Amino acid sequence: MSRLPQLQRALVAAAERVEAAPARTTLRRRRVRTLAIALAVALGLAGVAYAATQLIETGEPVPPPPHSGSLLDRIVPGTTRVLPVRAADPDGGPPWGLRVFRAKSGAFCVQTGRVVNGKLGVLGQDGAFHNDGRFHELPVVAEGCGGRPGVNFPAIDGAANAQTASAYSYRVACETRHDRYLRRVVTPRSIRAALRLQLRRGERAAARVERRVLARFEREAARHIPLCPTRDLRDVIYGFLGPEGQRVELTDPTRPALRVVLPVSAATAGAYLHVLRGSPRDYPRLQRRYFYPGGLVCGRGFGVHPDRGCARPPGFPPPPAKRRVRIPPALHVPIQALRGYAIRYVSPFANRRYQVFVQCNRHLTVDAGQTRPLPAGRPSTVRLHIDPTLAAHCQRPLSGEVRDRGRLVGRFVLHPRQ
Amino acid sequence: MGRLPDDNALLAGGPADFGIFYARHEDAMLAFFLRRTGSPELAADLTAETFARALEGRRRFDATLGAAQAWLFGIARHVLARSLERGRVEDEARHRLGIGPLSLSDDDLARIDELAGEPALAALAGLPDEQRQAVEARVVGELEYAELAVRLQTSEAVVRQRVSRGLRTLRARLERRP
Repeated sequence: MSRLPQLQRALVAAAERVEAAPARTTLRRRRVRTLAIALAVALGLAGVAYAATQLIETGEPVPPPPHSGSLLDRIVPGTTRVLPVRAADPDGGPPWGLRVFRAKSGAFCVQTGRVVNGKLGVLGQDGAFHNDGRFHELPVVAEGCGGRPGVNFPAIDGAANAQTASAYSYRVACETRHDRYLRRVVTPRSIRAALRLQLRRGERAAARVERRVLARFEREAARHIPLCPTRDLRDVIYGFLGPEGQRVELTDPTRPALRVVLPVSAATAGAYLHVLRGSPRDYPRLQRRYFYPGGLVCGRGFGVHPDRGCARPPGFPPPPAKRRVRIPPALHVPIQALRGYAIRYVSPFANRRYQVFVQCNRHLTVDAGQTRPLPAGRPSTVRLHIDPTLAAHCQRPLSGEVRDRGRLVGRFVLHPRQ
Repeated sequence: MGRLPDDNALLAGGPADFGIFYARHEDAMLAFFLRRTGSPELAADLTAETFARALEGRRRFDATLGAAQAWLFGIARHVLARSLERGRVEDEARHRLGIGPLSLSDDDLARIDELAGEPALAALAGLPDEQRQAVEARVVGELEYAELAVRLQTSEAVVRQRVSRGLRTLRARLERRP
């Protein structure tokens, strides 16, 4: 006996129908296919999103990145949630989704990825996870953060990012043009600038380390990583219109076929999400228009002129009034000026970081950096972080001051050599 | 009692013959999909789609190119790959043939689940992890040794050795069964 007798019966019945009407099969096939396509279009995203979660196998989760120490990496417990906002991928498969959470810095952060069973993750494709085709859950990591004082939702105005269809943003088998630019140009350039500054300051020990770092990144820059094919890249567009937003329209004057209208909901603070094939460079004239009650149209992009009132659209509460801060009286701690750009003084507080400013001329005050946490009661030497090129244009002698959260700790006068 | 016709004759025959062909290969298909998906519902759906495609394409089957079972497994692998790629079970052939969705009872699911306890599968589960992965990927997944070496992050020679040892152990265990 068969394990699935109903399937056996259905197949035999189907075989009988095929035998009985061989000539009509093609027509019928066409009709059914047309109907299926029409149904698929009519059902749209919901059907795809539901079905997409059925067959994906789950692999090991994506390992969390090393902790950067940033406050954005520290998550307020209980604030993480995957919003019920989905966007279809141009190539099908599990839909894209948005996760929001609050960082300890106070900012709201957003993370995008593919959604399977309500979880945010990446797919093993485009070189990620050896193309195992499985779903890998993502750790909670900030992809974009933002917020406005007094606004209790992520007031992020539609960041766009290029990533592969896998949603895995770490470099794998290929890279985007932007990643390549960062790797080959921006990173080595910033390290070279830091090295130059250290050499000018005579910080030889730090410069030795910096040279090794530069050598490593130059090797990395010389590595050949192929560019990802456009078909594998995704421009993930998202943002939040606030609770009173009505809809978002995405258009591109150079692509008449591109016109997407996304309704938004107050329950998700007006969150929207859309995924295009390619990178943001492929859509330089993309326009986003945000519609609010009363005919207010805001937005961004090529040729979009937001209406007056978009600085604070409906649903965005006014910022809380600033509290008047009373600055305690100045301490006038004696500060000794050393040779070069350095000072020495006794910290009045334990483990306190102080802000150092230098008056370059009557109109320009230069932030000379923050000190390390200084111990109380004994003299500490503090090196000023001031670009020598800039310092060369400042008047002599250089006067400056040390402040502790606005409170004046003491003043000093430097006599650097020309 | 007459001798049962072979697969080629069944595929060339009428609707009832296709029913026999289905019954003959049903277990193999269900076990194949059950092993790959771990879900009896999905295994049933994928099996239905595979046989629907086989029904549509049975007149194009060419016995000189290989056995009917191999042809059927080829369709099964294609259906599974397409379904994984699209993230949902393919159902185009069933739509075309007017075969409705399966409604599975607990008894049906239990009967499919029985296939998970096949002796070969149980013996496979008993292999050391390295050998099990290698045998599964090579024999069930039909991956090339080179691809398998990349996936398991080892050399091709080591993969070949693991598959060979795994199969030898499996054979020995199955032969020892009463």
